[in-house]
Amino acid sequence: MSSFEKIRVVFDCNTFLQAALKAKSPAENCYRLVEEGIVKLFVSKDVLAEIEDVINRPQIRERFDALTDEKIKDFLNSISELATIVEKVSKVFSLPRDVDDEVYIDLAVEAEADFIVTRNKDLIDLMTDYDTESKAFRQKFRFLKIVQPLEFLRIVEEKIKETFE
Amino acid sequence: MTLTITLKPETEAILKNRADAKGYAIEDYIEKLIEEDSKKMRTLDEIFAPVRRQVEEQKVSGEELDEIITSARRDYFTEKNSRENK
Repeated sequence: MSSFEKIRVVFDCNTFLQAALKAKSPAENCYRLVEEGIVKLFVSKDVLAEIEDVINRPQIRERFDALTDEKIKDFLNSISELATIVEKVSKVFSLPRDVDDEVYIDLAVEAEADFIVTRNKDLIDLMTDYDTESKAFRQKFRFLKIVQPLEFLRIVEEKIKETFE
Repeated sequence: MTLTITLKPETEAILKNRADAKGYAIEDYIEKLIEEDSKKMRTLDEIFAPVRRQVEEQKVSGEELDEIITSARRDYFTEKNSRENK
């Protein structure tokens, strides 16, 4: 049997919250890969702070009132237990069209991640667009791919098949 | 809390063997197993089951949930950036 080298991955805030709130979603299945130890997840303190703040915003708490402080605490504990927390993240890339998403690229590069999993178009477009930023991104970080949750599941499945069949 | 449970004979035999091997009385061994299980990290489904039911009942699609999260993120960054720029 071949050895299985774990895929290194960064999830963005939307992926984390989709995983938490939407049962049987592709994002939930991505998180399950982390729970089962099939992929290696990386987070930073900035990302954890973003998740904690965003999930507590009125848009979410008032709409889904079954969401309690305790559940949020358990969720953040789950992420902290399962993921490797990267303490120091250097700024390596500027994304003027969506500066708020730069943290994920910086984290992925610091963690030497293979993938960023996101449903955010500004990030996903970096893989295919021909503007200066996108071309610079692909040239500078050839090892890093940005994919949607469903695509990530397909890639992991393929890798498992290749390794064990 | 005191529980009375009925085990299948084959299950009892397996647990008795394992308890003996580890030097426990079977009752203590079962208590230890239950304690260990309770300390295991809760899965997302265990944590969020009631919230997920609400999401389901309100028929919130993945796209709509994205919009809600994106709007909450926007507010987060607006406040964060304004704090940092002061």
